[in-house]
Amino acid sequence: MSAEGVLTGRVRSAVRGQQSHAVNAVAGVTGSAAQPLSAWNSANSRGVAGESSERSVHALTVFLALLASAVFSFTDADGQRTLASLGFQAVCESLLVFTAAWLVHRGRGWFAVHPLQLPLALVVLAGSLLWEPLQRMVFESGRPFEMLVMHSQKNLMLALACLGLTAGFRRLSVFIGLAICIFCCALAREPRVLWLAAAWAVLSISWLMASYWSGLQGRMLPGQRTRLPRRWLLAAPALGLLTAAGSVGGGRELISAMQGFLPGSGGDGEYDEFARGGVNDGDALVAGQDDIRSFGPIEDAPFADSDKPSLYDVVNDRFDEPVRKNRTFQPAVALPPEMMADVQQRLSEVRQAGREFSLVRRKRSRDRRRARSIASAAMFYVAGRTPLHLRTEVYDVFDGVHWIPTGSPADAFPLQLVHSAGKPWLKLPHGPRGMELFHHTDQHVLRPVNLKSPVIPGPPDLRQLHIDKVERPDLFAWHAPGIVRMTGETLPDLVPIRMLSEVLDPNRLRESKLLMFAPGREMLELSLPDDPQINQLSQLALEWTAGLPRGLQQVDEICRRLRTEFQLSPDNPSSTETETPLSDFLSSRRGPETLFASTAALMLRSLGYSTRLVSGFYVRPERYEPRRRQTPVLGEDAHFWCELMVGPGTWITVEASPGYDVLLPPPGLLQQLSSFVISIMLFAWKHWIFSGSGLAVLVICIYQRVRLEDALRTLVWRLVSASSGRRRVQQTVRLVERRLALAGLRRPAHLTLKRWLGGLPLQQPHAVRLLAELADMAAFAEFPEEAQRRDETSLLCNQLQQQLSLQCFLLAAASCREAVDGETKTSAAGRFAVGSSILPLRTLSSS
Amino acid sequence: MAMVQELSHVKTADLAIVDQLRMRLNTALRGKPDVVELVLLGLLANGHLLLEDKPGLGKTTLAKALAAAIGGRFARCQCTPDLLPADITGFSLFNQKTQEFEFREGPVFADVLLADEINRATPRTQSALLEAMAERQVTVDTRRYPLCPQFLVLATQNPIDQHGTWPLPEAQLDRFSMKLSIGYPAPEDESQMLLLATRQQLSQPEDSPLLEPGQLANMQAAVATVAASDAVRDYLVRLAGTTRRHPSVPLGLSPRGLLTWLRVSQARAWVQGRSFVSPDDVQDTALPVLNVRLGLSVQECAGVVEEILSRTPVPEYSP
Repeated sequence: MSAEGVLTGRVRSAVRGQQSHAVNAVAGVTGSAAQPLSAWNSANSRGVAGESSERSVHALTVFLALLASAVFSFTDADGQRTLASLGFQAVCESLLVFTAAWLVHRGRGWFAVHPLQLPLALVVLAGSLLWEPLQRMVFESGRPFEMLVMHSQKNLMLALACLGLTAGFRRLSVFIGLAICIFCCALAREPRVLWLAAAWAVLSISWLMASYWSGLQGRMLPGQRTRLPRRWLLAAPALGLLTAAGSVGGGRELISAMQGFLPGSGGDGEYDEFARGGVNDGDALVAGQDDIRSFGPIEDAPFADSDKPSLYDVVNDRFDEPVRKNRTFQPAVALPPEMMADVQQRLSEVRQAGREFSLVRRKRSRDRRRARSIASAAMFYVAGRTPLHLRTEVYDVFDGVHWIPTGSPADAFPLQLVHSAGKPWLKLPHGPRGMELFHHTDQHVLRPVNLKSPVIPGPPDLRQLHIDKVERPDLFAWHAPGIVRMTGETLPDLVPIRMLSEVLDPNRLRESKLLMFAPGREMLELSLPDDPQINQLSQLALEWTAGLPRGLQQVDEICRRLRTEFQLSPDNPSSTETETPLSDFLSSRRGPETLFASTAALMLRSLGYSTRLVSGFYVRPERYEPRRRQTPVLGEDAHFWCELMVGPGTWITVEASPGYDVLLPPPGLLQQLSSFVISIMLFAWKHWIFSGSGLAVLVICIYQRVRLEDALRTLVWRLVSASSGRRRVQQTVRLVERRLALAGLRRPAHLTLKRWLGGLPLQQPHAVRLLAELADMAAFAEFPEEAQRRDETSLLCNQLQQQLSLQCFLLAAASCREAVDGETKTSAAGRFAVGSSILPLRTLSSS
Repeated sequence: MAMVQELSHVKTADLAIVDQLRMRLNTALRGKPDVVELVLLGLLANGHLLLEDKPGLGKTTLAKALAAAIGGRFARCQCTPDLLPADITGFSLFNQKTQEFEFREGPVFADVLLADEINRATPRTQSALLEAMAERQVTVDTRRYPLCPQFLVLATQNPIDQHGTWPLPEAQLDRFSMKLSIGYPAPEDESQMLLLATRQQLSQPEDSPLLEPGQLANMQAAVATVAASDAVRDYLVRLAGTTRRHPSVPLGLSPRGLLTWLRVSQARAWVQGRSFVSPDDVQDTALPVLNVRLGLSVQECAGVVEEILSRTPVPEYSP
């Protein structure tokens, strides 16, 4: 029980000790007249606490209005005014609003008699509108119509905040502020507006709480506390600020972890066929603001023609030129006879076209590897979740050095065009599906900018794609299994290609009992050349997967070993003369991702898994641009990886290169929250000095919050001068009452200061008596305001606040608690009853 | 503290007189300083007092001492069922010599009247007394006779003996400023009283008046000028409203009762040397003022008053 509760309890017990039947009599009446009593209680419980809540709500309303006004000012300025002038305007506005609010508060009695608040507000609104033609005529400056309307609304909001004596005015002011913030966020082009709007949103949580609490006044049950819960009023916005701070510090991973939490219209990261339309992400995409070539893909963007690298240029630029030479030996690849003719034809076509991929690459000197020569402009942009593997070529046959692409599937199902919501979608048929492994349908939008290739880089398990106004299926053709190309020379520039793909659920994958890793038909994906390096790979694979059951565990182990024991390096360890690039890779334990992917694919093949090599692009999450909500894909993002077959027509991406990840289904709420928390912890760990010292300061502040608050309030008391002796006494009383509250001895609203302080076990009875007398005089009598008296009063108040310090109240509170715990009830009641009982009239004396 | 006293604006000479009054009454009624204080407040507030208590507790002694102290005449009236209104107000008697009717003043023309067991008088007789209390005049044979401006009635009633009584209705109870209960003295006071009696040192009440003519009227006028700020008045009004809405209270505080409460609070502030009423004054005088007019027993009233005061916040010290 708090000391305050002890004392008020003692007051009641002291009275009851003299009138023992009073409570029973009242209780008897209460039982038979509960409803009227509760109504009476509710009608009488509103008092000082209710007025305090009203003032808090009014103050918060004014703060919110000023904050929204600042948001509007930044938007209205639109970069044409300096920060100093905007700050000056904000200061002037604040002074005006605070002064007006204070005058209205002081004159609330007058407003109660003359309800002129609404006419005044309407005058402000009309004045704002009528000022515009004058401004245009006299100053030759003006605003566009929508800004004029919002400017008048802003003034109305400020006026309503000043006149916020009633709940309706306050709510209307905050509502207008909300509308202004939303309007400005939609228009704003600088981050300060967004920050201020975020601050408004955080502060509005406090306003909502205070407003609700104020509405509860008058309905509280007897005996319940009716003070505004200030600590919770601060906790809610503190939580919002913590979230915002975490978002800032967490980086893009954190932002992307939280993305999709509140889907926007049209979906945010998730396709919704029933959405009306989206902004910047979803069905409707907004045009780019700065550069038509920057993303904001729109269907009617003009075509642009320029020098664009082809896919081969990109790969060569990324992985260096292949070394073309006659091999000293020709490895044999065991193939069944029925496939031989097809593969031989394919081999000759590929070699003629130079489409095979060699693991042996020419080394470029480091001096030429400058950022300018490597980092090209974005080839295309991708909107949607990342990381993402975009497939452009599939290789199935390996001859020891070269990977041979598969070519277009001869027995592939024909491409079909379907219409959905009036738009043509190319449907990519796929093999038989008897496995329910897919969890999520993802939508990505790709916009080629600088790519000369007809191949459409698509994600794994691509199911549909859409290019606006391309309604003929014969414009598309299969390029490779699961990869589509256009029949023209190149993809249309700047035309968005929307793609729907399915994302595997890794949990379902691992739990499925229907996985088939080596069905009979696709034997090319099992073929291995007769090569000594293959034997080496095979032995190593057996060694790594020893003891593991056949299945994904073996696959995971191989990937883990490659990712942890090998180092990704752009330098190819092999010389240009080598014919065993994989052996060189195994011995050097470093190399480019082509070798990682090749090693993984061949190791798995040696264990009897069907694998293939895939080349394409890797859309990196770290390149994500939050403002434009897109990810550029550069030439250096060309990538190789492995795919593993888990069932008929079902392949999964196996990423063996360190630093590359596979796209997973979007995280659930719990995963997002845990990701958020982990990001914060990592940030704190990374900046351990800052976070450690901040935490220490926070702990100290929390532990010593009472003393800190008292020190701050005392400092303010010293700095703020009073206009009169009465005001000085009232300030001192307020300071002392706050100290009492901090010590847990908050004065009950129904007890006078004299009676409450008189009942406390304080060591300064004279100071207590004097303060009580002065408080009564300042509150209920004429106070002398001569200059000399004012100085004497100030001096006296200073002495009183020094004597009635927080420490003495803390000691008194401790004494009260000890009295409850250790002393007898009689002695405690006797000590506290004197001077604290209400009803018995004490013996009065002139002392 | 000196500065506070200096700013109080209450004459120290008047306070000294009040101290002497207090001592005189405490001497007459030992061991009951609270009751003496309330009697003084009633006197200074120009109100009447109702003493509800058992016989032999010193009511008459108190009334006599008070009358002597203020320099006024004391009269006692034992209310019985056969008491007539004329026995209280007076009557016209035909003088055979002058062949004219002469008015013979009744007990109400005294300065301090002790009306014992007022609830035993008939309602008609009660009305006659209460009319005199309210208007400070009596009308006999269509002629008005004014009473002393400081006319004070100390009425008593026995809380136990209810047979053959006519309880005062609430409307008439409202004419009393306070209802007091003397109660039995403390054992040590009783013992002291017996000791003095056995030693024949029981002090006789002094007859010399402490107040000069007109001084009481001046003090009462000074009490009426004690300032009550807007906040205090608002506090009183809220308390009055609370009594009217309380489901346990049959009849809430009337405006007259509210005025009485204010006047008694002013008296309390004045005797403490202040020129303004504080919420403490209001709270300290709540029970005796409300006790007489809420229509509840003493025990019930104490609980209800405590509840009313607990539910009503005092005015703010720093708005």
